[in-house]
Amino acid sequence: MSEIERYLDELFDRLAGQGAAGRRALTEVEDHLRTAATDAVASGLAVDQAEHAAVTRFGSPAMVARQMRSADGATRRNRASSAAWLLAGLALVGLGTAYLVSARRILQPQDCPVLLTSSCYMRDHLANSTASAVIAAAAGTALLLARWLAVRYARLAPARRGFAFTAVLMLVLTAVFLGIMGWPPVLHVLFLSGRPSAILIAVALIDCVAVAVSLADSRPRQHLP
Amino acid sequence: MPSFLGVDLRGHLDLMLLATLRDVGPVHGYAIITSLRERSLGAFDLPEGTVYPALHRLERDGLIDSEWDARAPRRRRVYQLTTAGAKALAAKRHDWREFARGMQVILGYGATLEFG
Repeated sequence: MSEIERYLDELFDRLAGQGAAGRRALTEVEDHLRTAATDAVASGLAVDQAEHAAVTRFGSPAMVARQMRSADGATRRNRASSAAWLLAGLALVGLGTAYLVSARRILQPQDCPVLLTSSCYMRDHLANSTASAVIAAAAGTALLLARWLAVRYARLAPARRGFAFTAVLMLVLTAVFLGIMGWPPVLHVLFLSGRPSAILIAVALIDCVAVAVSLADSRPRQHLP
Repeated sequence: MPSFLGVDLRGHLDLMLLATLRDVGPVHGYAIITSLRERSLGAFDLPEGTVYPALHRLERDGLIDSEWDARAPRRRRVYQLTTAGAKALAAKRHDWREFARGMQVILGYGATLEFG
């Protein structure tokens, strides 16, 4: 086995798990090493010496693989940030809007006695929390708008179509789940005045799921011809 | 000729790659490295394997573009400067000139010859 072959085998092992980006790197490195060796042979070196010189000049497989992985890792971080940003915006808009819609149904005018019934008690609390829901929906809209600008002008990675679809689906399922649980009270807990941390925790949990899903689906899809 | 294999050279690798692509046009990685070495008279003799990750990073940032060359006997990726890359190069060149001017002032007149 030639020295170039051994080098490529080791690089292949070290790039394992890099998917299409790894295959592309390996193809480029092989072309580079074989071209360099051919040039060296043409200038008078023996084949063994030419291959050794080409491999030596290129640097160790460990160093090359580490730098390749680093470049790919930056891409993954970019995609993870983008996905988390999208999910946070969708979550705030979705939950805020869902609260406002459900609260509107309960906030229909009705006469409440001095001793509050349970529905009137709920109505008072819902009215107090409406402002939080409006703020959440507005903040979510601002997040989505800012993300769109970042994708367009700041090279934030755009969401893959499949991921965006999954995000919307997750939000709809969450709304259905909350509906089964009796969502005005559940959402009320989220938006209850004095407990804004509940909203932050919910968004943080959704972000964690977004980052995990994004990292699992973030390998570059560059195809060889 | 001395080889600058330290951090200083790697810090300016992006600028050198963009400038090379501007001057030589669409080329593959091996030609970029060869051009870089020849144009610097061997001074910039960096480990060649460091160039490809840098090219991938520049492509990811939209400063260069690449495609497989169907005419080559082996699969070969050809890189070229994008419009955004040309703008970034102009900005980096300006920064470099300012840096070099400042260093010349600090190091004294004798340093001018070394920069030249």
